[in-house]
Formats: sequence, C-alpha cells, structure tokens
Amino acid sequence: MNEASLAAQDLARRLIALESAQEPGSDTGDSPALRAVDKLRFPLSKLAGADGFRFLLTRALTLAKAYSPSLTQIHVESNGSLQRAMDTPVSEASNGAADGETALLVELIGLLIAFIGEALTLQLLRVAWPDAKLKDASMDQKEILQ
Amino acid sequence: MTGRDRQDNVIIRRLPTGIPGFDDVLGGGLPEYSFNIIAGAPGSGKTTMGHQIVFANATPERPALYFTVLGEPALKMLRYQQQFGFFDQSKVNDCIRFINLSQVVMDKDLDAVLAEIIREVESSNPGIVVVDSFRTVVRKFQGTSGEIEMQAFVQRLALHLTSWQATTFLIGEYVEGEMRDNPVFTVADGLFWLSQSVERNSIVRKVQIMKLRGQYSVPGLHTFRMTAEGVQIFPRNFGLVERKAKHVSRPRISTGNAELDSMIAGGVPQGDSLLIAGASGTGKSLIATQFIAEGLRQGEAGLVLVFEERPEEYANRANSFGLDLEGPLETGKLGILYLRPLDLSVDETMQEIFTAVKKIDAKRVVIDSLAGFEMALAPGFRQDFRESLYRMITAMAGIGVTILSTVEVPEVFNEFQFSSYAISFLTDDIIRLRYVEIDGELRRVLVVVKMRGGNHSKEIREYEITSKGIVIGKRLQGYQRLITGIPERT
Repeated sequence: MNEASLAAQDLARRLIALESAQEPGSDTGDSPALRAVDKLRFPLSKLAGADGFRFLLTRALTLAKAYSPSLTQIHVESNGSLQRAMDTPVSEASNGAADGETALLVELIGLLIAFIGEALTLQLLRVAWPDAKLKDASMDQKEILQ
Repeated sequence: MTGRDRQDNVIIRRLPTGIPGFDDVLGGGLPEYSFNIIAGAPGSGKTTMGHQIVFANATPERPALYFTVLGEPALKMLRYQQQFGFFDQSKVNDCIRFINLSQVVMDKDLDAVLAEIIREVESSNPGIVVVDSFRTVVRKFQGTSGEIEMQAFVQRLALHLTSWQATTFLIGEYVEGEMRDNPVFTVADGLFWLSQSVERNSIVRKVQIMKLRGQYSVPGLHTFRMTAEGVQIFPRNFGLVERKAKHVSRPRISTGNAELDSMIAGGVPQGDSLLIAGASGTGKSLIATQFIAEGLRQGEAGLVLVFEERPEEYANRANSFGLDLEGPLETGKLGILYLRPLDLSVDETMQEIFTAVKKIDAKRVVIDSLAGFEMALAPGFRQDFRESLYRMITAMAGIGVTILSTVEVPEVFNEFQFSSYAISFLTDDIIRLRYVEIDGELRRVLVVVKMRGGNHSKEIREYEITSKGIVIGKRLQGYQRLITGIPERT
C-alpha cells in the first residue's frame, strides 16, 4: 500500500462495517467495499462533477492495482460505475477480491484526504451515510453500529 | 418625493459581506435579494470573495448554494479556500452546498442549465447563490445560442433567483471592454470589479463598485489585500462617511515648548495639522517628540509613526533629552508604529494607523517623517502620495486628532522652500526651521509661516538644541534676508 493514511484506512474499515451491517443480498452482489465506493458516487459527483468523480476513481483504482492484482479485471465506466471484465473466471474474481476492493476504497478516501483534508472528507462521507456517526478516527466500532 | 412619506418605502435589508472594509464601501452591506456580478481577471480574488460572502451568511434555514462550472476544479477550490480563516469546515455540505454544473453545461443547452439551477434552488431554499464561473457558461453557449436566447436565459435566471429571495453572485473573468451591450451587466443590480496590477515588485489590488442599485456606495478604487483571513478591503474614506466640521473655537494644545506656544497664540488649535519643515539636523524630530511628550504629560494618549528608526531607538533618543517615552509605551498610553517598506498601500497604512488611534484613543499623532512615509509606500502609490496624504490628514483631523508631521527640506541658500511635496496647502499650520550663516557660524532660526486658525508671531527667532530640548531665543535683530540663509547686517 502506498501513502494511504491511517485515517483513510480507518474510515474505509468503518464504512465497510456499515455496509456489512446492511441487509444482505444487494442486487449487484457487490462487496461492502464496492457498495461503499458506489455510495460515494452521488456526493462526489455533485461536488466534482461526473468527470471529476470518474477521474478520482480511476486514479484510486490505478493506485490500488499496484498491490492488488485482483483489481486488474476491474475498470471504470464512463458513468463512473465499476465493471468487472466479463471473461473473468469466478475463482479469479473471488481470490483476494475483497482485499483489492478494500484497497480501492482506501485509496479513494486517501485521495480525498490528500486533496481536501480529513475534516471535509468526513463532511462528504456524512452525505452518503447521514445516519452514521462519523466523527474522528478513534471512534469505537460499536458506536457506528448503533 | 411628493405625496408619500419615506416611511412607505420598502426597507432593503443589508447583508454582511464578511469581508472587512467591504460593508463600508457598499454603504452598509449587500442589498438583500440583489443579483450581482463579481468580475475581474484570473487570480484577482473573485472566488475568495464569493466564499467569504457565503460563509458569512449561510445558515441551516437559508443555506448557500455554490455552483461550480468549468474552471477551477471543485476539489482544488476547497483545498485552497480552506486555508483562509473564514472557512468553517463544519458548514460544508451542511448549510453550504457545492454543486458541479460542468456536465450539464458541457452536454446540454441553456434551458437544461437553468432547469438544473432552478431544481436545486427550489429544493434547498438558499439565501445565497453563487455561480462560479458564470463567464464559462456564457462562453460555452455563445457560439450556439443567439444573443436573444442568452439575454432570455440571464433574465429568467435573475427573475427566478430573486423570486426565491436569494442574493446572487455571478463570478466571471470579464475585461472592462466586455461591459458594453452585455445582457449580464444590464440585468445585474451590483457590479464589483476586481483588478490587480504589477508595478515593479509590488502587486496592487483594487476593487471598484461600478454599479449598485438601491443604495449609495463609496466611489473610486479601494485597495484590498489577500490575507490569511481572506480578502480585506481598505476603504478610501477609511470608513468615515462625513467630515466633521471644525468648530470655530477650539482649545489650543501646547507643543511642549512654552516659547513656541507663545509664538502661535498659545498652542496648536486642536484637530489641526501642523507641519515642521527643515533641513536635516534642525530639530524637527525633537519638536515632534516634545509635542507627544507634552500630550502624555497632560494625560493624552499619543501615537508616533516612524519609518526611519525602530521604536526603541526613538524612545532612547527622547530619553537623551529628558523625555520619558518608555514608561507610557509600557502602559500603552503611547504607541510607536514602525512602518517599514513592505509594499504597503496608503489605505492599508491608514487602516493600521486608525486602528492604533482608536485602540489607545490617541489625541496627538506624529508622523516622522513624510519622506519616510513616502519611501514605505509601494511604488504604485507614490504617484498618488499627495492625494493620499490629503485623505489621511483630512480623515485624522475629522476624528479630532491633532497631527504633527515633519518633512525634510533641502537647505538651499538664497531660497526658502516649505517642502518638496508641495503639500503646504494640505496643512493648517507650518513652522519652518533653517540654518543661517552668521559670522562664519551655522546657526538655527525658526519662523511660523502659517497658522490657519489665527494670529501668529512673524518673528524669525534663533534657537538652540540643548540637552533639555529646543531653547528658543529672541528675535534675531540687526540682520535682513535671514530667510535666504545668508543674511546681511542692517
């Protein structure tokens, strides 16, 4: 992992926990990490525009791919959504996929923190997770799930 | 106004701008529900100004919508703007919402852009709306839309935003030539023009209220600076709306030298501007120091502006003449402002001086020296020095402060100059000090050239600089042509 901050890792972990606590069986079958990435699309597109979100996500994917080879099968569509290559074998799709997708979320949040700081990044996350108590990096997991 | 009482007029509430000095320039603040343009070249401070207004006014009940279009990327904008002191991060995405319109502008038409703005406004009920940059919207559709369509778009936008009681700011990189026949400028209620120019090693920034419907604003170009807190504006009128008329009968305040007081009918009329002119070493600074020390002795606070030496050096020099300035400095009764050449504009300097005067309620101010003051100004302001000096002196006198300025005059024999700045008309009173050559000695004489408020001695008196200060002697008799410096015996 490159210079993704501890704050980014912590935030990603908490968002994944939030998504994991949701009802299982989402339509896409996406992992909690990918659902979290997709949830960020609305507030980020609102702020930075559809292109702005797409470029950020592409950058995050490139960074994450450097140490998560499982991500090489994923690309960013023109509308900012993530697509896995159709011919990816199932076994390959699942091997290490969770780690790669987590890395993607970490890198995306890391980029936001790098550009606008942790405080504004938290403000942004609160738009996507309005009920979550995202206060600071030392927050207890139990408090999130309340 | 006939047949109607002024009380029937609608009251236009004024919103605070959150920009120091700007409310004064606007005549009290921003007219509510107005549709305004903030224009200027790239880098002139438009976005920062827009942000400051937004952060000063956004509330959860009436939030602010900040539409970004093509131009500075939104993330970059937040990255830079949060460096300023006015930026409250807790308000972002709470009562201040940033919305990117790039995609709509790039992919769709003017109607779609308007529809998107309307949709956001109607769902948020904002009190402030900013479009940054509006110029890029216009530029995008200039080729594809006709002039009438553009005008209709601007008209409908203004109509909608005003109807929804929003105060609007369109930010754009316009040049002055674009004002003519531009529908945006026609529709706008307010037009704030930011400019910046480079003169040698200084950047000079100015703002002008080119248009403001509904209220009086201070005309002219006002200097502003980008500080750690954001934009700060220095109004040309120093925030003073009216000049107080000088009362006919004003108390006379002592200069600290009884003999000099007797030459000027008992002292300097309070609120006057007194100029001490003379060559180097004639004692100008000493007279100024005695003036301030006398005020302190009488319990009056004073302010000294120095440009050529540090405050502690100034106080030490006063000490050598038995004048204690260190004590009042410590108690805060005396302020010594040391203004170095830091590319300061006159307006910025004046603001600092005014703040200092009000802080200690100073009744006497010394400017030592005018030449140092000029040197401390940015190159761009030296040409306006005379006009700026007039505004400064007028403003200070307007708040009842008695000002003593020193100015060095080259000693030219056979001539009698007052000052190299031709500023004599700006001061109420002038005392001239000069050298004269008598019997192979260089001696000093002084003469009261002018006292606007009344009578004064016409005598040319010799004086000496002693360890106890200036000691003024009798009128030099037996000589004529003293003012040339090379007198002749009569």
